[in-house]
Amino acid sequence: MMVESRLEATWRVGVILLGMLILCSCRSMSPVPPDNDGLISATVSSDVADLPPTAATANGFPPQCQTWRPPGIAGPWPQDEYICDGGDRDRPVKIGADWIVKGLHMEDTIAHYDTLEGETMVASSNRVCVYAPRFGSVRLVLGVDSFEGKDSLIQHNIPVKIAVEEERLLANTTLQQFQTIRAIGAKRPSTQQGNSPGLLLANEVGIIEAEGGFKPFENFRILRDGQYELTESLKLSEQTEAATVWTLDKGVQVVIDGTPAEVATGDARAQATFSVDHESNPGLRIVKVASACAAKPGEIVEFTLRFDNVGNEPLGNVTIMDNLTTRLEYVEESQTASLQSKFITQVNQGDSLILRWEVLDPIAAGDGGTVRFKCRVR
Amino acid sequence: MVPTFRFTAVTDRCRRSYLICGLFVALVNCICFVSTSEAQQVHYRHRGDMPPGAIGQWQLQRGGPLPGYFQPTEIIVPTGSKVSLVSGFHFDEAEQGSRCAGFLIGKIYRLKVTHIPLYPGVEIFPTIELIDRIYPPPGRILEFPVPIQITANDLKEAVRGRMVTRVIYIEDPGHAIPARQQPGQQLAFDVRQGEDPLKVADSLGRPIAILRLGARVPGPLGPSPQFLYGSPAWKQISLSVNANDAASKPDFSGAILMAGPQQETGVTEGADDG
Repeated sequence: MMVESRLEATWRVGVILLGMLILCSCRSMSPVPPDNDGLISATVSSDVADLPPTAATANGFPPQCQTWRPPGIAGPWPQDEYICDGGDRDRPVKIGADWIVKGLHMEDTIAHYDTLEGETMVASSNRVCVYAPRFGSVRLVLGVDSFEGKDSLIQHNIPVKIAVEEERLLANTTLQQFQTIRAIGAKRPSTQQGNSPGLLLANEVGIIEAEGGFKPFENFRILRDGQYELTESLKLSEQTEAATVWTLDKGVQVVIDGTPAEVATGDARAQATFSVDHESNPGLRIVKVASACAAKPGEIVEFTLRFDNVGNEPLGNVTIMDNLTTRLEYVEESQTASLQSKFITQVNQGDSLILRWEVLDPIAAGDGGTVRFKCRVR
Repeated sequence: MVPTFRFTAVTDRCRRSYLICGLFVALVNCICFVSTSEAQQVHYRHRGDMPPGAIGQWQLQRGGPLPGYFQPTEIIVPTGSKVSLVSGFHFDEAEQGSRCAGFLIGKIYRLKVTHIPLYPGVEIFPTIELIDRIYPPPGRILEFPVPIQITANDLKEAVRGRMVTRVIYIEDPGHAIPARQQPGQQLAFDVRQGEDPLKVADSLGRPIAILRLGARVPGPLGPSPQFLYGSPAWKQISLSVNANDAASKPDFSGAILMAGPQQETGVTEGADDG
């Protein structure tokens, strides 16, 4: 009995503690895993106007693109004020037979290529976000006063109606006409003409009138020749603001030949290079930058895609694809490519375009190219 | 045998308890999920026809970077019309065309619109209530004011004695309308009577401000404090500062002049007779 009662008591206490632990963990649970931006969060006051410039630069990011966000929230925040393009969201892009692209979502920017071993591989760019809020309005019009007006008019007309009815009653005195006629016919005209008929006719004419009325928004070595310089990292991060908000589990995860790649240079930057120790080591790096970190509707934003063969073998059939988001409208004939390529556009589900560059010649190891295009912010 | 039997009984009870515990954990998780969802910026408990100030005050109770923040706002009126703002319980000098000011969230600001096209001499007194703010990059805050557009049709309806409620929202880019927005134009939708404009705006994005205008006019003795909603403080954005200046000058506090009552902000510059 003792053992049973002890076990029971222990179990009860355990359940209560577990419940408390769960409730406490729920209370402190943040919607998004915390990032390494605690310094800014701790120094920023409630008013953005009070943001100290030193606090913004302390994190290594220029103040132009730095925005305040609550602790524990990954950027860009709030998301509804940004237009983002690049990366590979949701399900990763896969290349099927005959280079059929599957899983290319809106905002995705990827490149696929063939290796010497005949494999088709996919590389995605970093994500670029431009601050470009668009406002709309919903209107409701209520005609409250007009209804009140109608009510008051009806009340005012009630006495008019009554008067009409009274007059109609008076009009019923036409009986008197008959009586008069009969009187003319039945009695002697001479005596009736002299006494009453004239007065009765005058009353009838006056009666018949009464009516009522009613109314109611490039100058980096990595982009020029694919060589990454550490001194450019600060300015590059300005252009690739979105890369600053990556966390490792959310950044580009690279697997080459089934071997998880390790970061060779950089880990939380747009131009991170991944490599594995392998005899055949194909790899394509694609970097995307935007000309502005903020833009108003109607302004033009220029995007640059730099792609480099960072592997040890030539890559063939390199194809770069950018699925533009709804609010980015490609400016006709604005695209340029440093390598000879075939440019194709296709309307996507967001009534924007999928831009596709098919590089005609293989890219040798260490070589690369640049693609540029302009978009108008809708 | 007996201890074994007892232990078996306890084990059965434990299994039952495990089941209850599992259900309890599932229930707590569900509650946590629901509460996390409700913490998002959606106005479940609000309606567009709530009294002015009610929604904004409720938003302030949520905390965060809302209280005390002067959200730059641009009031856009039809060409030829003039707008006045309340400064110290009096309407200031009317300015033609659009006008920029920093408004507090949760306060009600009374405007006076005059020189309405086709309605000479008619004055309309709209109100603006900010219920949320935006977060532009520092130093570029003045480039991105919240646009509150009072159209000629809005004014016409108000002159006719109708009540116009316009909810201004930030469009969700994930569900954006594939339409090009021309400068000076704003995406606008009309809802039918009986529909809630705030809920429709919630479905399209994040409501930021509410504009209300009707036929209400001040009394014969002039606008009363009640009519002006206590004349809350606001910041006047200097017209001499353009976007480029602001961009090159992250600290823009000098670009904004105080023009509200002293007791609200503790700043006397530009304060009127409060």
